[in-house]
Amino acid sequence: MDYSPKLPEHNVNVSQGHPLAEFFPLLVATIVIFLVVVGLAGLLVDQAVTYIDPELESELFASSPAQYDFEVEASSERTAFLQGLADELRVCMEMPYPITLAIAASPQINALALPGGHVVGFSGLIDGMSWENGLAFVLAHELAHFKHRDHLRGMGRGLVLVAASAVISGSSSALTSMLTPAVSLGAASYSQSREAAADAAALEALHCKYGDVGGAEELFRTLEQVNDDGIWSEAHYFSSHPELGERILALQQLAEDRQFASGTKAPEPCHFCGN
Amino acid sequence: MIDLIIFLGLITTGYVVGQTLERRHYRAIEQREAALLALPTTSTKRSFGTVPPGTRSELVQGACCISVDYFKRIAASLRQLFGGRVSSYETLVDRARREAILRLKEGAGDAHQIINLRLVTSSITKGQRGQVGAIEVHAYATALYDH
Amino acid sequence: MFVTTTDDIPGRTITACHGVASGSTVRAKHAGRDIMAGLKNIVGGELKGYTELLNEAREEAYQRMLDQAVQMGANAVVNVRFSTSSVAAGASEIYVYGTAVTVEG
Repeated sequence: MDYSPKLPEHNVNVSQGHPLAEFFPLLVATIVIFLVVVGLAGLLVDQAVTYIDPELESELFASSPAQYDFEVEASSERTAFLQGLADELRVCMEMPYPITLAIAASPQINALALPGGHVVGFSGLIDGMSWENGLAFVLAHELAHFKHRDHLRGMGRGLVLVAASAVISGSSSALTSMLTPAVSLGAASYSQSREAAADAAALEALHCKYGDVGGAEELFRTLEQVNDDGIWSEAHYFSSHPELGERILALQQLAEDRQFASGTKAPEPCHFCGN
Repeated sequence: MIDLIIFLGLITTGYVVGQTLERRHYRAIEQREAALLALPTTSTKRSFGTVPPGTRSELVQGACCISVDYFKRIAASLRQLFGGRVSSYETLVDRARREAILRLKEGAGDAHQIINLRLVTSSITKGQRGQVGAIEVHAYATALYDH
Repeated sequence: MFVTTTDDIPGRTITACHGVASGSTVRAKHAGRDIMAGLKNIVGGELKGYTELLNEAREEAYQRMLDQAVQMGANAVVNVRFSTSSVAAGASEIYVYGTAVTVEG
């Protein structure tokens, strides 16, 4: 037996295609499938929340207040005043089910709608307002989220995202970091549209209660000042809320379209507010 | 956003540097394979020609561990969602195997033939989620020497 | 093309040896199959999808080895060995190698 060696002419053990030619179609397909799945699941969530009426919701989330991760102010004239204000707005907004108001002892300028019929106003928000009308607008905005079932949508969509990214990150966590920007862009634009709808509903509630929509923008003007003071605000497209200036303009436009009176009456002073 | 920028940076670096190193490695492999071509090598137990009495035989071995780059890792994890041939890992095992055999031959000194060549592969995982960090190939054989 | 797992081919003479020919491939199963296999893990039994995948992979690696042997000028491969290793969590690698030879008779 002789030895007559020869090298193979080409390497049969590696694929000949360019690595990028395989990479990009796979990447695009992954992103598209992920977005379609998340989008469809989001629509399903939207359908599902219409079947959860407020009574069922308050049963499901009966234990919710115990899970606050902030301190709730003890009952006082202030909480009673806020509860009363919310109840009056509730009538205006045709919401026949009870909503519980709580004040969180926190300097944050914020308010939350939580599952189970809870609205939380942060003391930083209440202290920063001067007029009852302004505060009423913020409360009505949160009530509108309830009426629109936005808090449940948000929760459902959150669950869908967690599940979807768990499937993806089963193969690689780096993939998730690549898909997240695309998803958060979609989530932000969805959230912004829900915020705008809540703003509009709140404006109508304000018109119903006071017969005048003056003071609705008070919070946004306050926030604008805070932002101007140099607090860095994240890129608008990734933000969950529309830009403040846009929100003010949208409110003014809506008031004009619906011929709501603005500034014809002096706003009600707020005795429990900070200023 | 920061995550995405870091990710894009890693994947670009991984691709550019990884591809350059791979091309360089393949060039080296081909040159050395051509140089060592004349050394008879077989995976059978039979030796070439008649082996005179007094021939010395010895176990020779070579090993090589090749790491995956970031681009390949991502390309493979995309491929794992869809199934099919993972072409980004093919070059990895190919390089490791040829390099291990070359090291075995280079370590065999003035052997006149190499018989009963065997190869084993193992993957050295990073631990986390079983993702591959590198693969290792060990080649071993019997080398025959004249004295 | 003769392919054997023995050193010789019974009844024929090996006239020339051309070195070691090898074929390899890395294959992954798609995510859907992974999920089905996960479910199957509860009750046990054969993972048909995986068997099929590995068979396809082996077939491809085998074909690649034969291609390489032909390029080396061989008409047979003797002493063929298969080996399998898992390169990553969801992907497995098949390697097959043997000695490329020319036989007569």
